[in-house]
Amino acid sequence: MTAQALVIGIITGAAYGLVALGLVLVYKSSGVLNFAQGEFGTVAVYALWLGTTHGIPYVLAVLIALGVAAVFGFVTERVVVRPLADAPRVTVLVATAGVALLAVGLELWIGQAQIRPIAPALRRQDRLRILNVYISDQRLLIILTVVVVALVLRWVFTRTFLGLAVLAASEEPTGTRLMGVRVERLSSAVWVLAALLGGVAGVLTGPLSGFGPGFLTSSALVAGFTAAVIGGFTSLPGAFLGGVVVGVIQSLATSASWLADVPGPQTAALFVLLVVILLARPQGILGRAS
Amino acid sequence: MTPRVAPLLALAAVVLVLPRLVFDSADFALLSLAVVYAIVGLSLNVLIGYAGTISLGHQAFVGIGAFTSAYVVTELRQPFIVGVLAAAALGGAQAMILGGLALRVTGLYFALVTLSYGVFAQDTLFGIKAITGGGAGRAAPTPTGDGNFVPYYYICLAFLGLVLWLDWRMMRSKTGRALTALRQDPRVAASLGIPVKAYLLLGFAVSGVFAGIAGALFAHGNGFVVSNDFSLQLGILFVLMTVVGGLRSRTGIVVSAALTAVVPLIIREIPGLESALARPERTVPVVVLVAGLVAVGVGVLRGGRAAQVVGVAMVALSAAVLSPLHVPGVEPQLEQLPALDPSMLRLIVLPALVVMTLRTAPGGLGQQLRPVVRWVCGGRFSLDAGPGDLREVVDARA
Amino acid sequence: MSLLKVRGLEAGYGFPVVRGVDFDVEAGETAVLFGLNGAGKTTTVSVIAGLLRPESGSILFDGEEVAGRSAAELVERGVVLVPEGRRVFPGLPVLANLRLGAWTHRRSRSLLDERLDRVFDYFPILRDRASQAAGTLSGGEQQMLAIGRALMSGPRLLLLDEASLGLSPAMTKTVFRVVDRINDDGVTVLMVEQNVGVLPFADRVLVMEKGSMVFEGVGEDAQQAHLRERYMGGAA
Repeated sequence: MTAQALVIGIITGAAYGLVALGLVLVYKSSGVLNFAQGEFGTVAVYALWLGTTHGIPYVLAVLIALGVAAVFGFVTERVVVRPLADAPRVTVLVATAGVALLAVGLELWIGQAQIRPIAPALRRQDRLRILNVYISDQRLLIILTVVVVALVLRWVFTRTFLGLAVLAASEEPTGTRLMGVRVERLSSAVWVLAALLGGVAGVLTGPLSGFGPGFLTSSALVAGFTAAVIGGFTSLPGAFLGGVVVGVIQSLATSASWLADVPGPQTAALFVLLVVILLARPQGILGRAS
Repeated sequence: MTPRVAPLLALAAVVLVLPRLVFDSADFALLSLAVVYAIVGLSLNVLIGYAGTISLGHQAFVGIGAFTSAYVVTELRQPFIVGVLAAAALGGAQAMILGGLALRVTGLYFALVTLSYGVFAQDTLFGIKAITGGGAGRAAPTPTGDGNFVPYYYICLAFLGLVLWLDWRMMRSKTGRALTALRQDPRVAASLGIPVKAYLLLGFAVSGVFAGIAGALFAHGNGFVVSNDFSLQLGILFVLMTVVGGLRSRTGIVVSAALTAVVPLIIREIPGLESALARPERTVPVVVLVAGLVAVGVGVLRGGRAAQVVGVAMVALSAAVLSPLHVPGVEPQLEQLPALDPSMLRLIVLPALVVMTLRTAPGGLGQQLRPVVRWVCGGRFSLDAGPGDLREVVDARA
Repeated sequence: MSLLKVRGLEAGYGFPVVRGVDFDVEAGETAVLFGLNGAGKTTTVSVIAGLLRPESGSILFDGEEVAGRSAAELVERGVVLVPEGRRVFPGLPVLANLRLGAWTHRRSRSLLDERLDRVFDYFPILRDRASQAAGTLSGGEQQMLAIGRALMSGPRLLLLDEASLGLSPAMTKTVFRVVDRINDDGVTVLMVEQNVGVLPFADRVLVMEKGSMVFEGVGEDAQQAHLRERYMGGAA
């Protein structure tokens, strides 16, 4: 029982890690808590659903879905975030919450208020068994994708000019501008990247238990933020590991017999975790004190 | 300044008499909800506007009030007014606990705590079967009798009046000045000898009391409460309507919150709008056409080439769909679009308004209404609405 | 022909700071801009570097009007500012700081290595510190890094804002000497300074006061006499 919770928790947590990575990227580059991060993923799932129900091949539909997420991220940055560059950070937070609500409204309209199933990319359930737990191919795909994404991001942020410029701009916007970097374009790029991460999280996890309007905002967004806090909110590997920690704790809370009488043990665990961390170690478990 | 009597009487007539003349008694359910939303907006305003602390978990504040009152009335068999009082008390108490956290965790991090708190309340607190009935929910009888919303509307109005009066008294007192000081700079406030922590907790308590009252009125207006009534979306909606109303502007917030609640009524009253929403295959291209024209206009004015290109594409596509020409593939897809439910329209219109407000008029509706309000209060009418830059959503402790 | 020709420059932050400034910098020279705090020196170089849009006036760089262009466009044309307070990227290694300096030439690997060698030639200490986070360097080393980073873009006009601020006298001298070497290698330099120790290296001296240019001179003797009266005297 516990072994299963552990394995499932790690996999769910990896997906949370993707959401958290998107949150941390945006926070590093523009100091914004992006409440629309979950919707980047949900919108992608809706696009995938529309695509597959209209007979578009799965892989192509996934690519289109990621494209939709990327456009959504781009437009959010241009229309909402950039004009508010000089506004207080809480103002921008409210604005992104508005973007999230708008997306939920559109999803409610297009998909109605119901939880829908969606076919996973891979269907086989019993290829692999770890610790007496069968791991579906879709879950394997999640792990694989997350590892690849993590490695790619690592490469981008240590080796490429683009990644270095993003890190530089998060530390010293004026200094970065003086290097000839068009910081505004960088900001667009970061939001598109964050939206893609959200989109990947969406199309991978949507098939696990179905999707509905705003389903990633009400579940993965809070988990992603908690993961980011655990990681110290500026560390990319920290966000990723934080996601795994959150996933495992949630999974253990769900399966723990002494919590059986507590309604919504997953959310309760998240809230307690967040409060305890913020009170005990505000710089996060992996973050450095500033 | 002595208030002008005539406009105040006119206002009273609009609020008290006009609904009886214009609306059916069934519509008073929504009108009561408008009053409830107004109280919620004022409650949020105490936190965001006065104390300078964001709350994205206000649906939990309201929900606790709702379940408390429902429990007190149905299980403990107490009268409605006891339910409301209990809701106010418990609402205030839980807000103070959260306020205790706000003393330690500030700024954006506190925003996360409130976000998590809201979801936690919906899933866990409102899932406690003994008190909330679990997923089944709990009955909350309307005190004026089932479906008899007309007198209930006036009861709600009385509570709104009470909340407005309390808010007004508070802001005119030492507390108001202390809250203003601590919002603008907590450190300076502390150095002036203002007990910052005590006043912050007081702000939370007042906000919680208002929200508790609103929750009780919501529950008994609805007749029934379930945990799913208090989702994160509702919490975001509350924040957005408050910001659109204009922080620290009672008038703006009441108007904005009420309008948010009665969106379905407004849609019904505007000729043709309801049928337009029911036929999205015709409406969507029109909206896209208008949006495209706006994009082109903005693009030309500001010199944005991307906006122009996208705008022209939107205009061309929607014009082709609307014209007798057939665009293969697009029209049958549009045919499949479900009708747009009027209450969903809130979720689409309000975010757009919020972005507009934050970008162009951070003072919100309140600032636009300020000349009128000042005139009604006996001042001279002047279109100068005063500075708007001080009215953004600020967390001074961020 | 002047490399930089500024005419009637007005700039500010909602209130005027620079009120109609004219001056030239000839190709190949080292110009030094003096003035008390608040005279408008930093604002002037910020406008030239494209960080701030001027209210009015003209800035000709190599005969081309560049007033109001973005920092990115100016870096591409060869105008680079080493800002006040250095603004290195504290969390990134020295090498990454330098590489970012070559952002506008990021596609050319060979150019990168060549420029890197040149910077290490001017500032050998940076080679030893290459993998160290820039935030851990001393103030003087950070200033060297900031100058080196600016050189990576291959500037024709190097703007230095208060390069000596907060440095020890010995370090100040070292920095001035290297700037002189950079100038000898063909880069035109415009320095904002409050430290008169820079005078021996200056070909042209400019003095600003309350947003206006009050003195512009070439040739050492005259400028020093004038400066003492105008600037040092004023300060005392």
